[in-house]
Amino acid sequence: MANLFNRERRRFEAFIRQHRPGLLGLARRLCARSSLEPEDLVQETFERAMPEFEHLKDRTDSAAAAWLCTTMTNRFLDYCRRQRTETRGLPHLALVQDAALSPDDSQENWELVNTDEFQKAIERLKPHLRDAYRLHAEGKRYTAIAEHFNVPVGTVGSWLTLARRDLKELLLPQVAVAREQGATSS
Amino acid sequence: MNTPCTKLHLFVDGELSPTEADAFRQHLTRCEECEVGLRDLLQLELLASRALAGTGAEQDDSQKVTPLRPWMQRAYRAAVPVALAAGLAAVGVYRLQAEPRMPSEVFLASADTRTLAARLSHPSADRFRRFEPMRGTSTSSEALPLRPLAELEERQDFRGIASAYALRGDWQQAEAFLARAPESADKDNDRAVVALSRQRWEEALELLGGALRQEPKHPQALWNRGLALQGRGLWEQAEASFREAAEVPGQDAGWAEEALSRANELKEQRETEGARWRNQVKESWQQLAAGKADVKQLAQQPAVARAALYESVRTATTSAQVEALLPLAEELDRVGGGAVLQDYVRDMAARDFSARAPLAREYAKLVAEGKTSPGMLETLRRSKEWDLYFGALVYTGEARKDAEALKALQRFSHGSRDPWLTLVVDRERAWSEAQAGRTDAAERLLLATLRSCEAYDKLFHCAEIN
Repeated sequence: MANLFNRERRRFEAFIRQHRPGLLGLARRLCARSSLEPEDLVQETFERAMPEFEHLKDRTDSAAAAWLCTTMTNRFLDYCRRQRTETRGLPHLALVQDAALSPDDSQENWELVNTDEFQKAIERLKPHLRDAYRLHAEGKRYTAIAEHFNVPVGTVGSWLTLARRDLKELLLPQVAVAREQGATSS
Repeated sequence: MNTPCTKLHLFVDGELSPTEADAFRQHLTRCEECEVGLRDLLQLELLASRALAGTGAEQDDSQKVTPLRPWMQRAYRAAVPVALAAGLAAVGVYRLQAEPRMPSEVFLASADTRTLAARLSHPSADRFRRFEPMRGTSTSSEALPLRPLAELEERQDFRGIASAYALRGDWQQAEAFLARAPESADKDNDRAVVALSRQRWEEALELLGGALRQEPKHPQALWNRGLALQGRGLWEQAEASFREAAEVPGQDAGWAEEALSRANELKEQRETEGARWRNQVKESWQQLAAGKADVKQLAQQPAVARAALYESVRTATTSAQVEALLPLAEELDRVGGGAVLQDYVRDMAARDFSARAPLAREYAKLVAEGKTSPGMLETLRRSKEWDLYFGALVYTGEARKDAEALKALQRFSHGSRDPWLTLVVDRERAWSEAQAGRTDAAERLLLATLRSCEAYDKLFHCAEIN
């Protein structure tokens, strides 16, 4: 029994090690210069993951990452709501439900996409969009990317928006289909 | 097009100013479209970081680790960094042979720029690369290879492990490992880097003071002290610290160059700010001299108005000119409480101007031209015009060099009961400590003075404490 417990624990630790850097990277961007510590946000996310680990451990990496991402986003939105009610002195509103209870559409879509598919999709972007997005994914700021391409900073912003739109359409074809249907029906 | 919703991508990319980011976080709670957009965007970004940064690598240690101490109970928050730390040890136990060389990616050696402004003490983490600030906070999201870390742990090189985490902005982990490192100047320096990452300037200064007491020429501590002082607004000390860091031999030439350029930038910034301040004071002072000043309006910037009032009183050559300043003194006393400025103006208006007027002209010349005529300070010292002597001693910096003059300043400020004059004297005392080579004492005194100054809210121009 003790061995079983230990094995689970080790698996959970490995799970944390695997996903922590990516989540922390996102958390830092969400929390930048707010009173919320990115490390706390990630910590809370793993706290939520612990009781769900029995289900999470057997799922694909992509599904686990999508679950963690949704959970962290929920925690973050909770924080924003609390901030807002605190600054306005309002009572706390109902907080966001946990992902396990109510997986949203976004999560369900992204659970199905793996990193290989992403690699293929990014190769299909227009070269300047692809290179700009790669630099962005390395952590470069808009100014650094703008300098690299010798274009205005505003251009970098729209390139990244376009790159993301194209990536999403390549990765989530059903989204694109739905969009086209919307366009033809209107 | 300029609705808040258009800022979603900028927000996620950390490209908004702190105020804009705050506003956007508020907007998010009300806008369903942005919430959906945010969810999708974060999923894509996380996928990209997994695919491009290779965070999935080197994770299959799960079957090899030995049991850890029980940790699933309470205090989970604190437990995870510790648990991860312990997990590394366990990986190490199973290695049959230690490799002497660290793979370079542990310390991000292949990067051609660095994202951390501060300097870590570990030699492998302190190779010079050009500084390029990153979005949000200063970090790399590159994954940590766990095996070499386990090796570092086997060698008990906790500073090394902490450095690897710090380079990736994982400050909690860095701190947890630093706590296990033996006491040293290097450890204090690295703990200060953690404090810097959280903008805890005074805590960093405390730690760096400790490091520099052990090793006065510790290049990283001198450098980081520059950053902490800069963060705390003590630009002149920051500049001096960077210049000192630049002179330490035996480091990459890049560090010396960047230290000098940081020092020069600080100097330039300080001079620009100083000139801007002096101009503001001069304008108000001229308005007062021309009798065109709107007292209420001037007092809206109490620090500027106060400085202008001192100079106006000191350079007035008739009793009537001094008396004309009474309404401003009253208004400023109303803002600050007490009656020190009114008392000062009344005292000075009652002076014998046949003696004071020539000295006031000398003082005006000193302020306008920046130089003293021979024997001026001595003449002022013998005169009864203590405020002119006070002004001239501060202006010429004489009090920093001359213990007697410093004592005179202390006497005057005490007699005047004017809190600003007391702060100025404390600053001069700090500088005289610095000139006597007691930088530690000087820094403590300056920080205390700065804190007292800030307690008065916007009443004083605290940048002058620097």
